[in-house]
Amino acid sequence: MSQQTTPTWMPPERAVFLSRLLNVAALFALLGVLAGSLHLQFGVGEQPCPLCIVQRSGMFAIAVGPMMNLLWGIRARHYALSILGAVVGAAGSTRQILLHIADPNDPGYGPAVLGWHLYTWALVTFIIAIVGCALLILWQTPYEAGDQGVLREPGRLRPLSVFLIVWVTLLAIIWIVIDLGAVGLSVIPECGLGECPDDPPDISGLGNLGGWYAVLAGGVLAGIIAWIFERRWAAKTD
Amino acid sequence: MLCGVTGPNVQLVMLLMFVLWGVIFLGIFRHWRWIPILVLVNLAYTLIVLKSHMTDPIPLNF
Repeated sequence: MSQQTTPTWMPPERAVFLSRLLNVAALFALLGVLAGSLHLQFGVGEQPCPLCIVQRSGMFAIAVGPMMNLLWGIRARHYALSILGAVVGAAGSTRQILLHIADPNDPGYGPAVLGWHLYTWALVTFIIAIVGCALLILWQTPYEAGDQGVLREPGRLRPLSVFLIVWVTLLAIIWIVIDLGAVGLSVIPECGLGECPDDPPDISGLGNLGGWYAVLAGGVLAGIIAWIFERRWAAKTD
Repeated sequence: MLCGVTGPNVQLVMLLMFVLWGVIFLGIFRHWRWIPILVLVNLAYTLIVLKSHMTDPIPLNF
C-alpha cells in the first residue's frame, strides 16, 4: 500500500526552512525582551521583583520550544512546551497587573514603556507566543519532512545558507544561555538563597556599560562560540 | 497556604529555577530524552514560587 501524503502548497523541505527562520526570529525576539530586562537591572538599576523573576522564567520556558525545534527537528510537542511555559509566565504577569489595578492610586511597579508597564508588555508577549505556537501547530507541512535539526544537515559541501542558519541558530541559543547565566546569578545578591523581597530596593545602575554594552558583548561572545562550534561540527560530519 | 506552610516561611530558592533552565538548555544540546519532563517539573516549580507569593500576608505584594 503506497503511503499517501496530503497535497500542500509548499514542499515540506521549504516549510522546514521557513519554520526554522520563524523559530530563530522567535529566539531573537525573546533575546530582545531579556536584553531589555538586563539593561533595566544592571544599566538603570531597577531590581526585579519576585513576580518579574517568575515572568523571566516564563520567557526562558518559551525559548525551550524553538531551541528543541532547531536542534532536534520541528515537532508539534516542542511548540506545546512553549505554550505551557507562556501560560505559566502569563499567570505571573496577570497576577501583577491585577495587583496594581486593584488600587486606583497605585502608580504601578517600575517604568512604563509606551504607556504600559513591563508586566503588561510581558502578558502581551506571552499571548503572542501562545497564539503563534498554536498557529504553527496547525501548519502540518513541516512535520511531514521528518526534520532532525539543523546540526543533522549534510555536512559535505555545506552551502553558505545552511552555515548561516546553523550559525545564527547557535548564536541565538548561546546568547540566551549567557543571558540565563546573568539573570540566574543576579538573583543571588538580591534574594540570597531564600525568598526574594517583595519590593526590592533600587541599586545604582552601571549605565550603558552594565546594560546594552554588556548584552552586546554577550552577543559577540556567543557569535564566536557558535562559529567555533559550527566549524568543529562541520569537520566532524564531513 | 502552601503545603501547610505560609508564604514567608517557605524558603523557596529562586535561583533553582534558573539552575534548572540551565540544565534543560544543556540537555537540549546533549539531546537528553527526558528534557521535556524536566521542563514540566520546572514549570510546576515556577508555579509553586508564584503561589507562595500569592499567599504572602504582605498586602499588594509585588
